[in-house]
Formats: sequence, structure tokens, C-alpha cells
Amino acid sequence: MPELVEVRTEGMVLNMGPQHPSTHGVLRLLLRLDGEVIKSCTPVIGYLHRGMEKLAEHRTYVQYPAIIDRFEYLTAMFTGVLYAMCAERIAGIEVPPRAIWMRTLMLELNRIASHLFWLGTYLLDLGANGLLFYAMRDRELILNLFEEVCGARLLYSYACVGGVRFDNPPSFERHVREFLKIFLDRIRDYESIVTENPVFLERVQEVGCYSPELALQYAVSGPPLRSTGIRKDLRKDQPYLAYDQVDFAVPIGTKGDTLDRYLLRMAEMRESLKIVEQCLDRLPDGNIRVKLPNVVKIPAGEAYLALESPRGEVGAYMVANGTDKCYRLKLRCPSFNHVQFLPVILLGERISDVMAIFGSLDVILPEVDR
Amino acid sequence: MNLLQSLLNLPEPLMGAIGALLITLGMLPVAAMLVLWERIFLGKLTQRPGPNRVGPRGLLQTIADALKLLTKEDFTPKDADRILFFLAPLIFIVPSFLVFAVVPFGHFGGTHGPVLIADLRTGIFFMVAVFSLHTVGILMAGWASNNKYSLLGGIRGVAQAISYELPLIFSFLGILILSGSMSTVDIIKAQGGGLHNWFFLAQPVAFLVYLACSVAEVNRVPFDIPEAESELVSGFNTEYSGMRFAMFFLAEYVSLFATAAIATIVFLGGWLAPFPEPAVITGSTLGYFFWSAGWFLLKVFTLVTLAMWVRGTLPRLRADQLMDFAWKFLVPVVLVNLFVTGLLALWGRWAVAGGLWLALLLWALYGQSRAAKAERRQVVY
Amino acid sequence: MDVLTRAFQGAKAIAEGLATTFKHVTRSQVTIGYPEVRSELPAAFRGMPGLPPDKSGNTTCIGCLACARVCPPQCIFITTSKGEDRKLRIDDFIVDANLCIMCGLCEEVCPVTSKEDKTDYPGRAIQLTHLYEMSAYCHEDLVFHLPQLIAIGQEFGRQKSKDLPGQPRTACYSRLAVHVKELTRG
Ligand code: SF4
Ligand code: SF4
Repeated sequence: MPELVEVRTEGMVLNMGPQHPSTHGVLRLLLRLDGEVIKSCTPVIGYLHRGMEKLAEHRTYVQYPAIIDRFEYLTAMFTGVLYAMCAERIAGIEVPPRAIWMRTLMLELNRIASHLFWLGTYLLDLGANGLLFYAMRDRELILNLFEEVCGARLLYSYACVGGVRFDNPPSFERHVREFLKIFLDRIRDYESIVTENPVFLERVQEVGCYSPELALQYAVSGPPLRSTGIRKDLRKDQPYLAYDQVDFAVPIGTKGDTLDRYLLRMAEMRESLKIVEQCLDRLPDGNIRVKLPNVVKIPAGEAYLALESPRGEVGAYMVANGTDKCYRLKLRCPSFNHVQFLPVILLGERISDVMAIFGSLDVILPEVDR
Repeated sequence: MNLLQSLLNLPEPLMGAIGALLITLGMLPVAAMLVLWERIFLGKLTQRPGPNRVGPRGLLQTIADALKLLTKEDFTPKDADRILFFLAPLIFIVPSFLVFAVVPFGHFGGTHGPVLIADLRTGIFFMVAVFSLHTVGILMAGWASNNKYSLLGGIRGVAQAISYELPLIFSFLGILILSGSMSTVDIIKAQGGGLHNWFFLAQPVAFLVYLACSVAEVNRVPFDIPEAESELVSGFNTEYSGMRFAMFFLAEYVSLFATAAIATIVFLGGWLAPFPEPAVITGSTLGYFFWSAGWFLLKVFTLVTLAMWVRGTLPRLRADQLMDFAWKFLVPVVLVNLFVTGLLALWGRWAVAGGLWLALLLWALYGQSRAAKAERRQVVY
Repeated sequence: MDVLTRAFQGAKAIAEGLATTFKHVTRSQVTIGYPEVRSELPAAFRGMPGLPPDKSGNTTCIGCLACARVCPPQCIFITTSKGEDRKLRIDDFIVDANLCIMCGLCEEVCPVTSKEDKTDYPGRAIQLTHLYEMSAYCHEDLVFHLPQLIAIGQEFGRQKSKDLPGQPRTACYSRLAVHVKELTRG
């Protein structure tokens, strides 16, 4: 009789990233696999650390808005505006109405650009090539608008303490309206390729589901939270800028799966278009920034402010001490919470779904590592 | 190669060797052209120019790429299984060329016979059998590379190949019933007389199933999980570089051409024109050769373009969904198809099979689509 | 029948998607073939800072150091000296393009504003030009000194580019490259 030999199998450790085609920057995921099923996941972050927060203590209120753009380069408008608003809140600076509306307009355009980038790269994560180019083509239209106003396509340094740095050129309004006109068609194009595609539906339906309670426990925000059916949007809940004066809806999902997050972002793009249009219609004339002394000094005080960025709640806690530099700046970014949420929702999923789920959270790594 | 054989009057093995040489040399430019066409076509789909730097209008791009690959370092990872690592690309590439042994590229007209190397009586069977050898190459590459991504890719490749070969073969069985032969030449001849006799009309379901399976066979989107870029970096060929990677790359495009050629033979009437051919053309040997080869290549080219078009549009399926799709959908469908075809063949009215299937599908659309539409998920405002 | 319906709907959706992608084949190409064709820059474009000269070819900078102080990456270095006429002279003005983030703050704080009667480039003494091609083989080549900055301002100053719309920039850049090379040699 042949001797029985016990065959032992062991899990495989797969090191996904930091150099991997689709980790959206340089995230490293330590995956413990059983076949293709994930048994545990440990995100390793910090490959892109640039000392954003420490830098804030060494740059003046004039200088830092130019640097904070690098915090999150796909939504550079948001962080710039956030920093300026924090300083303004502490110092009690009244921003002229035109600047407020301009900021709102730019933020919404940037939201569309960011969602477009997400759409393209997400479909690329799922293996579809074509849509990336369409999304980039249309994002380019928005970047052109930004370039027209502030001269840069990615790192705008648009907002400054006391308003915005650049006024609209005369052609700007016409160009935005042209964009609004064609963009609805473009969204329809995307949807005809993606939304009902059976392959896409297979990949996203019931994938990466989580409950609203779990999401709240992990401080998930933005579309990943709203997809579970919680209507939490800082633009509505604690309106800032001109959001209390414009008319828009906050769509929510029903199931909390990846499909919901896709549908949400598409719907949000449509809502953003509405806001942009209203901003254009109601853009008041006047100054774009208050006159401040050359060396801006903010009196001692502290403030926490948060904006609804395309990825979720991006916040800044600023402590000022009366000098021209802030004493401490703490940035709160949604991506960090979403990365820490990953080990929970990836458990028991398959390795092909890592990117489907991770991509659907729309994490961007420079924001996590800052 | 009846005509050539009688002209040259060489012994059969020698003729075979010459044919093999011709195929091997002929397929290199074809593959290069396909790579180029794919890039141009994908560029057009996405409003880009595609390659436009090397040569006039970028036409020499693939040659430049090939030169680049040839001059790159041929890297073997540490702890790799050197022998298997060396053999894998060879095993991967050979079957792609071998398939062409039974592919008739055209016809010399009249009794001069078709242009092919070997008219095997088991032609179709030979094709499928040879084609499945790919899998060995994939698994070897995945195992020998000593890389976890490669290994996962290799395993996925095998699982996928096993699942998809079944519906692929079954999709042929209906045709075999209709044509009564496995020889590629006989199958084409059974479709003579014009478009209405082509088997894709009699067997639409088998045709669609074959298209899906063939895309899976050559590992292209939406079935490219063995090399899924966003998951497995490059899958089973992650560790390959230089010449050996070029072999994988070449084999992939030759296979693409081969699967399209098979589809053309089995479903689209091979070298036949879609209308009854005028006697002027069938009469002249050389004229009919170019005429028939032209039709053959046109059909193959159309199918290849279709595969590229799909690549520009669809995302990829997940590994387990891929299996589901094969076992739970394709296999039952082809089995039913086989059953229906068998019954109708028995009654001698096989042409009705296609109509029956179409009617069934239309009915499904008419009766059910509205109900299902309401189920579509939407966001809540 | 559910399977059939789903299969049919799936096929329909795929066909729709394919139709949409195919629609794009007929659309015109959006790529701009960069080195040969250049997109037109908006007037506000923020490129490399330069020092556009006045009509006599000198910089209008008065050496107040406001730009050097405000520059976030601290990449402006200015050396001045008192001349015999007790006026401030700019000995050297360095902008390190390795560090410059093209934020435009230097232009914003510069106190000098020249009018058209004095210069062809009305505006501040330091201006963000339309130069954006700054590849070099070593870092030292990207440390621009006063003559180079004046040349950059002259070639790529905003005012100039408004006068000459659509002028191919390649010519300009190669001219600048020659210019810069001569200067660095000297
Ligand atoms: S543009 Fe900004 S970084 Fe560049 S020199 Fe001027 S202030 Fe410094
Ligand atoms: S460029 Fe302007 S800010 Fe800078 S030193 Fe000269 S005058 Fe002062």
C-alpha cells in the first residue's frame, strides 16, 4: 500500500505595486491570496510623501496656495480654495461676491474634469481602451477653459487669500457655454458605451458592496458614501461659497456597489453642469480680490473647513499665530480614509476585482501621502 | 496544391516543406500589417492619428518596433526554469503557424484544386487540436518565469482555454452535420452557390458562439484575462523581453489571423464570392486564384477588424465570470443548437434552422425587453 | 427565457456601444501633432519667467527683490551693486528653471509697471512668458542668467506673441537655443 503523503498548500503573498499599471500612483497592496481569492490586504502608503503639511509652516499665506495645488493635482482648484477659505475664516476677510461665484464655477468645472478622468481610468482598469481617450478628449476641453483663465492646465494656483488671482478673459463665458452645449451629448455617448454594456454590468454589479454603517465607521465620504444611500454632501449640509444660492440635486445610490458609484458620478457630472450654468448666469461684476497688504498676516486663531471634492470630504485645519505663516496646517483627505477602508471591503473578493473596487473609490495617491 | 504539384512534379514531403516555408515567411508581413492596422484602427476609433512617425504616414512603425525588440536585452529572471522559459515562446508560436497547413487561401479554378498545403480529411479537427497547444506554451511561460503574476496568468490561461475549446468545437459540430465532411475544402464547397448558402446564415448561433470563443482563444479583450494588464501587469509574458516577447507578440497576431481564417472557412464560405461566380473568372486559372484569394483575405480582414473594434469598446470579464459564461451559457447554447440542427438535418430542411433561431431571438426581444428595461438601476434624487 | 432575453439585451447594448465607437471614426482627429503643429496659447499662459527689455534692450528691473522674496521655491537670485552714480545696478538676475513652478507670484508682486512708450512688453519687469520647452542635457543649462532672461522675455514675452499669432514657435525656440548657447559660452 502506498504511503499517504499529506500535501500542504499555503497562501500566496502578492505584492501589488508600487510599480503596477493600475494602482493610480504608487500604492502598494500586500495581498494574501488563496488561489484568486483575497484573504487579507495591507495597503502600504508613503511612496509619494512630499511634506505638504510641514511645508505650510514655512511658506507664507501668499506662497502656499501655489504649492498646495500639488497636494491633489486632479482637483487642484479645491485645495487652493480650501486653504484660502481657512485663512479668510480666521482673519474674517470678506471675499467679494464675484470671487465667490468664480470659485464656485471653477470648482464645479474641476469636479467634472476629475470625474471624467476617473471614468476613463476606471474603464481602463476594467480593460476597456476606447473610453479613456474620449474622456481625456473632453477633459481637455475643461483644461483649456482653465488655461484661458489662469494660464495653467493642471496646477492652477487660482485662489488666493482674499479672492482669486485671475479675472476671466472676455471670451471665457462664450467658451464655457459652448462646452456646456456639447458636453451633454458627450455624456450620452459615454453612457451608450458603458451603462448597459453587459460585460461592464457583470463586472460592477454587486461588486464591492458595503453597508452604510460600515462606510460611516470608516469615515468614507463623497460618492463612495452616497452610493450606499446616505445623502451626505457638504455642499448641501453646510453650504459654502455660493452653493446655497444655486439649484442642484444630490443623487444617491441604492445598493452601495460599484455600479452605483459609477451611476452616481455620471449623475453628478450632470448636476455640475447645471451649477456651472447658473454660476455663469449669475456671475456678478466687481472686484475679484480684496486689497491686502503685500505681506498677508493672519491673526491668531484656528479654523477647520471642509469642501465636497469629487472624491469626498477634503478638509483643512489651520492654526494661525499672527505671523505671515500658519503655525500648523492639517489636511484631511478622503482618499486616505478610502485606502484604509480597502482591507475591509477587499476581503473575500477576487484579484480581478481589486482594481474594479479600488478604482471605484477614486483614490488618488498624492493626496494620501501628501 | 494540385496544380502546382503537377507543374513542379516534386515529391509530396518536399512540397509540404516548401509550403511550410511559404506560410512562415508569408505570415510575418501579415502579422506586421495586422499590428499596424490595429493601431491605426484603434487610433481612428478614438480620434487619434495612430502611428505616424516612422516611414511615410507611419507605415514602417511595426518594423521599427520589431527592430527595437530584437535589439533589446534578452532577459531571463533569476531562479527561472531556464529550459521551460526558453521553450515556452516556441511552443506558443508554432501552433499558430501549423494551423495554416489546412487553410485553403484560394482556388485555382475548375479541377485544378484549392491552394493549400494538405487537404486533410480531418481538417477542422486538426485545426482545433493544433490550436489548443497554445495553452501549453502559456502555462509553461507562466510557470517558468518565477513570477506570481505570470503564474496567475498561466493558470487563468489554461482554465480559459479548457472552458472555451468546448463550445468552440461544439459550434463546429452543427456545420459538420450540414457539410458531412471535416475537410476544410469540402466545407467550403458545401457553401457554394452564393451568400444564401453560407453557413453563418444556417447556423447564426454557432457563428456568434464561435466568434466569442475565438476571441477567448487568442486572449483578446474582453477575454484577455491571462494577460489582463490592469490586474496581472502583463500576465504570463510579464518576464519576457526582447526577441522572446516578440515571439509571443507575433504569435498572438498570427493566431488572430488564423481564427479569423477558420471562421471564414467554416461560416463565411472561404474563398467563395457572395454571388454565383461568372464563368469568365472561374475559367482562368490565375485569374480565379487572385479572385478567390482576394475574397478570402477580405473576409478574414473584416473579421480581424471586428475583433479590434470590440477591443476598442468593451471592458474585460472577470476570470470566474468568464468560466460562467462559457459553461453556463455558451455550452448549453451550442448543445441546443446541435440538437436542433441534428433534428432538422434529419428532416432535410437544415436551412430552416437559422430562421428558427432568429425567430426565437426576435420573440425574446419582443416579449421581454420592456419588462427588463424597468429593472435598470438608476440613482435616486 | 430570462437567459435569452438577457443575451439579447446584452447583444443590443454591445451593438450600441460598438456603433458609438464607430461613429468616432468619421469624426475629425483631435490630436495636435505637437512638434510640428502647436496649439495656440491663451494670453494668460504661464510659462517660464523672463525679463522683457525696454526699448534700449535693458531690463526694467529696479532690484527691489520683492520677487525673490515671494517666490515659493526660492528660485530667484539677484545680485545688485551700487554704481558710481549711486544707482542700483542689476549685476545678475538668476531664475533657476529647475525649481521654478511657474506660479506667477513674482510677476504679481513686481512693483515696476512699464508703459508702452518705454517698452514693447508693457507690464511688470519680470513676466511669465510663453516659453514652455525647456529641456536640457544638464541642470546647469536650466539656470538662466540675466542676458538669457532678457532674451527669453524678448522672444516669448506675452505682448509679442499677441502681435504675432500663429507664428511657429520652433523657429523662435531654435533661435533662443543658439542665443543661450552663445551666452553661456561667453
Ligand atoms: S513663477 Fe513662481 S516659482 Fe517661478 S520664479 Fe516666479 S515666483 Fe518663482
Ligand atoms: S523683477 Fe520686479 S520684483 Fe523682481 S527685483 Fe526686479 S523690480 Fe523687483
